[in-house]
Amino acid sequence: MITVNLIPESRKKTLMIEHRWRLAVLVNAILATALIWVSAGFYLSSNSIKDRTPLVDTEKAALDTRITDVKKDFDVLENQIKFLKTFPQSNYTAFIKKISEVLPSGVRLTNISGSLEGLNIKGESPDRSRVISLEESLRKEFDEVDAPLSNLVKSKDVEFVFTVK
Amino acid sequence: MNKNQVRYMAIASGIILLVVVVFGLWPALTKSYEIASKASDVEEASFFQLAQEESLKELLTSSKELQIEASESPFKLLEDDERLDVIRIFESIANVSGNEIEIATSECDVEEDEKPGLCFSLTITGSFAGLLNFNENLSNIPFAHNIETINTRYRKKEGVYITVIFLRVYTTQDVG
Repeated sequence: MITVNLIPESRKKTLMIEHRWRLAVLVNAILATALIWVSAGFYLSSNSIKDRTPLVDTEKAALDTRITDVKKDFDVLENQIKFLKTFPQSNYTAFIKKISEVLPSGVRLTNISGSLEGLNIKGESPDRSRVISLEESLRKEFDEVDAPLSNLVKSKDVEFVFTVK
Repeated sequence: MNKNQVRYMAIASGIILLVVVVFGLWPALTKSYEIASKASDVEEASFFQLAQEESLKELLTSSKELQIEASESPFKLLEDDERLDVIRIFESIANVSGNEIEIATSECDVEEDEKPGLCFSLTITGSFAGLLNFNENLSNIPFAHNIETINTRYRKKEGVYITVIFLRVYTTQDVG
């Protein structure tokens, strides 16, 4: 089938121009509407992120404070445990107990003094042999026993002195 | 619609489109760009926060373990509200071991790197067995302490041993 356009050329041009104007109106309207929606979308999403920012900052600050507090408590506790592990520090009790266990019968301690330098004991014994026996026992029990010769001068009613460490 | 009306509408819609672009789209895009860069900061902060939360969890777990370790220790540091308790313990162990006790507080000598603590001078009067018993019980008190010096002498006349013990008890204030 053959289609014949009998509209004159000048009228055709006028119609084409009119058609373009109409098209321009349509395109402009569609674009404007679309851009309004796009802009609104950008605004809304931007605002939601913007609203979250102070929330994140607040949470971060709270978390920082909490971590600082917990770390502080942790350090204190750690120091305390480290310190507590150094106990017991002095062993006077054990020393005195050991001495009392090796004390020959009839021998009495009259003075015990303890300091960082060691434990100093003084006592009385009815005879020399028990002082010698005590000295031997002390040497077995302690790393260092200091016994002056004066302990052995008298044979009876001996007053003795020992320093143990 | 006549031809002129269409043209006016086309021009008007063009102007509206321009207005939308200039006052709507462009500021929205600019703002969006700014927010996007801020969002990446927020995201970074969130990651950092997650890492921090993780480390906080680890810290809390370790802290609990330390608390258990502390509770298992035979000694603890004296709290402020336990000062009277420690005095009562001294009196109690003296009573149990059959000794008389005199308790005095004394000035603590503090050397370099040493914790001050609370210092007591305990004067114990009783038998030698009682003294041993007292010492044994004293070494078992639950508070971290140190016997700095001990001085015992036998009093022949009364047949009793008098012991002066200089004792330092450590408090929570000493270790921080």
